[in-house]
Amino acid sequence: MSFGDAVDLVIGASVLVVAIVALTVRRRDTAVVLFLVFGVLLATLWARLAAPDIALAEAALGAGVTGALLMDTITSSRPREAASSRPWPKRILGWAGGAVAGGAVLVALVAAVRSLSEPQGSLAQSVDEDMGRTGVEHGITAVLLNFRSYDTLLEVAVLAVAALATVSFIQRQSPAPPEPWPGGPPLAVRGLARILTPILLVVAVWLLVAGTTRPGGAFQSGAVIAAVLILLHLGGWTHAVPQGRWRGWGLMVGLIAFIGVGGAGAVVGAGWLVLDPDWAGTIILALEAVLAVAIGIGLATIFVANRTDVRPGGDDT
Amino acid sequence: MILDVVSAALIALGCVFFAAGTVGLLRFADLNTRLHALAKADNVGLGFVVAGLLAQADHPAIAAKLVLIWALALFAAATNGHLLARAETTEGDA
Amino acid sequence: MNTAELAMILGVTLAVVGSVGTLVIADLLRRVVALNIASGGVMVVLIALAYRVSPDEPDPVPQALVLTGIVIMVAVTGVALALVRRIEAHETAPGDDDREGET
Repeated sequence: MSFGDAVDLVIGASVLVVAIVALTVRRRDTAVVLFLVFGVLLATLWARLAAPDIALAEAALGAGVTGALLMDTITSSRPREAASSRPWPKRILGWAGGAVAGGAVLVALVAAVRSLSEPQGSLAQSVDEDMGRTGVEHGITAVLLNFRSYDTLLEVAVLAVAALATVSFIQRQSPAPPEPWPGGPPLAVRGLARILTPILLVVAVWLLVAGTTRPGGAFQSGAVIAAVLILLHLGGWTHAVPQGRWRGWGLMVGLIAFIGVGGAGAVVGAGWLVLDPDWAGTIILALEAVLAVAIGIGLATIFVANRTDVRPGGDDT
Repeated sequence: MILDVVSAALIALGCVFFAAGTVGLLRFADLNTRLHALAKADNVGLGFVVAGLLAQADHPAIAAKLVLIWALALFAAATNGHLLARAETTEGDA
Repeated sequence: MNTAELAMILGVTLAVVGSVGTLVIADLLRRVVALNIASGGVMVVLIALAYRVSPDEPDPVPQALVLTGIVIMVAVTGVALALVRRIEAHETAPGDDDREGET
């Protein structure tokens, strides 16, 4: 076993151990922090499995934005201890039943994994053959924005619907959203927002353009844009994330632009969402920019909506 | 060859600082002292790892990006430490 | 048993453990965490399938699926957390409900 294999084994084992511990601890905040560790370890596993794009996205979205969402939910409610409302015989029964059923499913799935035949790789071959017509040089970008751009359109729609659903669940006692910090943001946060915003915007644009030739692309760029918007909102510039009248428009702009490009292809070009090989590179870059902004605004809206939730006592910290 | 040895030595030194920071996180009794230990791991440990990787960089642009990563991690760690310590003191007073 | 197979077994284990956790855990926030862990396991399986084709040039199609899946999971987590807040707000203040006596 080479050193690389040993490192992979250690990373895989630690992913499993951290996941199991995260599921079995009693306190919520411990579970959330362990989930963050799980996300970072998963990102290193992606890097070892030759998926650097996924590693970037997991670190930014899985550990970053999801971590921010979970942390915000924990800090705005009392740290609930293990006070479970169900009587303990039922709990033991629940865990035992889950273990038995889960164990059976696990054995069946592992058997299925062991019996997989050799990979044909026909899809990878087709992607390789047609890469010249796509206008980009990176496989994942070609698949996401050209071969399967319909799936990406639906993903933008799902994100917009999720943001609208989150917003509609939140109650407020007054029309104006309450301030993120009761006494104004501390100097450290304001300073951080001022320093990081230009740097992160440059990084976002770089990730966007780099996605055509190497790991990067709209999703990672969108995650960085979401981070910038959340940071600006926390730093006191509450108009960074669209609220009020502009919120609906902010969420819809990505979806409308995407549909517009697809429709333009249907009217002028070869068909709905078909990209002409001459224009494909430019159109893909434009689509990615719109996509990144849409993902950024969508995720930031979800975070801000969760954060401006008013507790029943009318007190929001 | 020399560069590989230098990289390995620097990264190993960084790992020592990370290990020290983790031991501090687990064994120190107070939030402030734990933040102190973590700051060592983040700033110095990551700095040594980045320095070790700098020796492996082919292009100045890659080296610049590595240093930028270290600088951003420094900003984040400093702000987090400040906010955590601040939250504890205000909580203690209120 | 090569790396791809081990990774798939890891992914399957994570997915099963996370799914059992989602169904059995009582606390709502920990259920959301378990759901995220289960989705992480499924993603490991997909990436392992991409890795199996060729370690040097992995199949980009499953990787694109996972990338979309990560973004969707973040959005779903956001909606789930909004629901968790609403449910817990009602649980801690049953008297504020419109309908009296319903918890």
